[in-house]
Amino acid sequence: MPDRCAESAAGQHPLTRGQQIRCQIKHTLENWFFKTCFPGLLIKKKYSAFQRLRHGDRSALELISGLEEIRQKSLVCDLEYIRHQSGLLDKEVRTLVESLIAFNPLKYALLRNYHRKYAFYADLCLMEDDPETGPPYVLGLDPELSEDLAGGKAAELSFLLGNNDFSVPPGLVITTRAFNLFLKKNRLLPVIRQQLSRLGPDSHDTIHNVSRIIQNRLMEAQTPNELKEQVTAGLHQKGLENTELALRSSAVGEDLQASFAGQFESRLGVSPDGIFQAYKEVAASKYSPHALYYRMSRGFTDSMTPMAVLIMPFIRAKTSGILYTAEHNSPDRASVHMVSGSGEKLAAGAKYQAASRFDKKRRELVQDSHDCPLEPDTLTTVFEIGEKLEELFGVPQDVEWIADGKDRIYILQSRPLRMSEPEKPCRQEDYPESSVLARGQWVSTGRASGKVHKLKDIKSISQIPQNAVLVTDELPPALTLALGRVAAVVAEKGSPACHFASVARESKTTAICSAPGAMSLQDNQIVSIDGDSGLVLDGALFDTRTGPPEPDQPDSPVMKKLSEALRFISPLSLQDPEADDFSIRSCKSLHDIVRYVHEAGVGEMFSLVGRRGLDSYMSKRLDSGIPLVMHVLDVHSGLISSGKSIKTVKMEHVKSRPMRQLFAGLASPAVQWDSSVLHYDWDAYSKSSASFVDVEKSTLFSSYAILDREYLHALLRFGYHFAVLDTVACPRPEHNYIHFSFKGGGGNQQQKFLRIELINLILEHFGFSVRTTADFLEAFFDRKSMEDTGVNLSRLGIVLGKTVLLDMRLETPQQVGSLAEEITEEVNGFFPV
Amino acid sequence: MSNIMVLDDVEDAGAMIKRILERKGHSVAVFTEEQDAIDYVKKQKADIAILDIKLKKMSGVEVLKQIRQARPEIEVLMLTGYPTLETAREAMSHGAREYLVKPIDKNELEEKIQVIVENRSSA
Repeated sequence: MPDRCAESAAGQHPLTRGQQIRCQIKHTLENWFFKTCFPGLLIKKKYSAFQRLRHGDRSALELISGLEEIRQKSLVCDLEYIRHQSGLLDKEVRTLVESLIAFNPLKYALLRNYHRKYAFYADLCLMEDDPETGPPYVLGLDPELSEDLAGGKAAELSFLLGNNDFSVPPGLVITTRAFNLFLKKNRLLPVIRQQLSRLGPDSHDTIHNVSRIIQNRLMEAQTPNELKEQVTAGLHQKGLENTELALRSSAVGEDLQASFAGQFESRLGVSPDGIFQAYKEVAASKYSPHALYYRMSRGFTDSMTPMAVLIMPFIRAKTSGILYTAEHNSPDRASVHMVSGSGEKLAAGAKYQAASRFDKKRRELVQDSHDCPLEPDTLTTVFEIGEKLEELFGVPQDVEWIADGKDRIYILQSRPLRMSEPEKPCRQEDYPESSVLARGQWVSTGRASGKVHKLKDIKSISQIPQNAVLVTDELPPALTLALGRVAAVVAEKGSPACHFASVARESKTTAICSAPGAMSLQDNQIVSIDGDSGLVLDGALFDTRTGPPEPDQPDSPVMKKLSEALRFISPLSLQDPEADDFSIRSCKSLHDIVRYVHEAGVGEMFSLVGRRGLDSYMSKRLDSGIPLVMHVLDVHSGLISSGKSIKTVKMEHVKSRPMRQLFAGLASPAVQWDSSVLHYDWDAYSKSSASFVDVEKSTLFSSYAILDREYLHALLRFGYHFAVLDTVACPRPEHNYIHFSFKGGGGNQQQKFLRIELINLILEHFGFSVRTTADFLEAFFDRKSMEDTGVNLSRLGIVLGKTVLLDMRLETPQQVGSLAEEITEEVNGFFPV
Repeated sequence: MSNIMVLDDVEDAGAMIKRILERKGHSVAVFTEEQDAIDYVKKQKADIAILDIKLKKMSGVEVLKQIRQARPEIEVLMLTGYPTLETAREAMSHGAREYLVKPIDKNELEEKIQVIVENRSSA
């Protein structure tokens, strides 16, 4: 006998003993009163609670599956979205728990504590620390600067400042703490979090709206006075108070853990008066659509990447360039792309004027463009600086530099050069000349085939079909938004050294640039891209990707948080309702609680009509002629009069239209209820039920249906499979619907997914709209005529019967398509379209 | 095995934790009064403290601050039936290592203590 008092104190019981007794008496009296005086009212009251359970159950399972799917596929979304979904799940489970408690407060009140516990643990895993808002707000560039305070770019430039080999413009940094203070003083954090919570998977359309709202709020906000004062003092101290300035982004994570190449904006030639407006513009660029998408795709949270801003004297560039200290396929060569004047267009993938290469072993220029804006000596100096940077950091570097009017070279940025290995050594000669449609330059390695989609407008990115070969004029950073949905990118202009190139390589998306004639390709033309040799080829030569690219951030910070939270959300340890440990105390997750509530809700619904003198409402055993153990509860005209007085009814006693139509399918000759099905599902039932005489227990193990003349709610159990069907079939089409959901089942994860895909294909063929998330499927067929609804119920019956055990046999995705066709054809034979 | 101090204003709750942890070989002292618990820790008698958030005179977080001030190396596991993120954040910012929510699950309690013990021995 457990120590009840100690358990109660430790939260194992929700109420004191006195409270328990009072609660028990109240519940017993209330139930006795209703059962004796108003049995119909009691049924209605409990049926209404049951309906709430049913709705909550579906929503909760959908939310759980949604979170599981984000984790399994590493889908791109914001942490705030995950927190929001987790919050919705918490709310749904709370409603479920309260609905169950309404059946029997004493018996189920403890479930509140378990719900509170696991919902809190999930919250705790997704929690982030409050951003730090204390000083310092402004710091001079100093070799000791940390990335936490100064952001990646400023920390790296500060490090270079301590080395005499490099020229870095002097400057200040407005720290990440200042950014956090700016958000706090203007009460922007709640707005930002609320907006970010809208960024779930596939939010390409929403992201523009979210970006606009956040950026507008940032631009309307006031720069805190303490920040203004410190910036002004800092400029004075550096002698920059009357100088034209350049403000550059320096976010945490930028350049170090991820390139964030070109995602944020700079402001050049800023007068001292305009500095705070420019500060807000640079800070707000953190929330541009492509910067948001990039951050999410790398699995960082918003608060992990606060924005610091570098302030430097504006140096008018005679030449600007991007230097790679190693080349694709040739680590002993460095290359540089250059333009005269400012380098914004070069970095933005619009143009370059000249490219040069340098053999690091022979120490000589190997290819010099005719229109190179630099003298050979200066160009050699650029390459030598690159060698020193590579030596200093130990890995090849991607360096942004400028040369002033006196050809002095300044480093603006140096970050690790990200290049993946080519798939295999390849040359343009490997392909027949006749198949080459365009020749360009490598941007990102890999090979892919797909249909051409020409981008007309940067705002139409959301209309790009999945797995298209995106053909574009230039390679602006805004194309980041298309990554994850395209098989490859081809640009007529651009350079391999632009910002988008870095981002494409990080996301492992095949890309080429400088391919004259690419824009002449036709929409929907099937082409193949070899990124390594820079070719656009005719036809489908390579495997076409069948889904989004393999996630490359499965262990990102956001995914780690979600994985932790899912430990308290997802696992289902309550499997067998007949097992001794199918109890509140055995609930280990929110999923367990949902499962427990569903089973207990069904039990309560049936137990209340299975006892003492409520014959008119008693549940009946249905002898349907198929080996499905089922109990039915008639709530209103679901059975004919003669069926109401007997304990076991047959289908001829059933008046419920949707029930008859479902069974027309389930019991049709198309479904072979063979002995293996019997053995798998019902032998276990027979053995278990032999030891129980209690109606509540036996209904817990069987299928059940709640019937009305035009309504059916059924939970169908086939071994470990659970399907829930909720439907109305009446003469008024606007009232008719079929809602069907399915989750779980036997077999391994792959088999479950294949089974879901099979049902999906068949039901879509018959006009259902189907949603699947992980191993959860929901199908809808709404507002159709009574006849159409009825026929689809019968078809659903066949599909259910035929697919019950298939997950044990389905092994490969190829089997799914052919089996779906086979079953669809057979169903058509019985219930033609 | 570790010396563990449990502070819970309900004696029975402490007794239950004591039973679970003693079966695992730990030495456990249970207190219901805040000052007694603080004095006990100050006398270097505990490696790990389990503190309920809701106490009679002080909050568990206040006790946490005092014992971490006296013994910064002590590991603390907070215990509560009514968790909030704000309290959790505050407790963790003052050095609480773990957070345990009632109803207490025997395996979960053992697991969390085990993690703390392993962290201590690898530190």
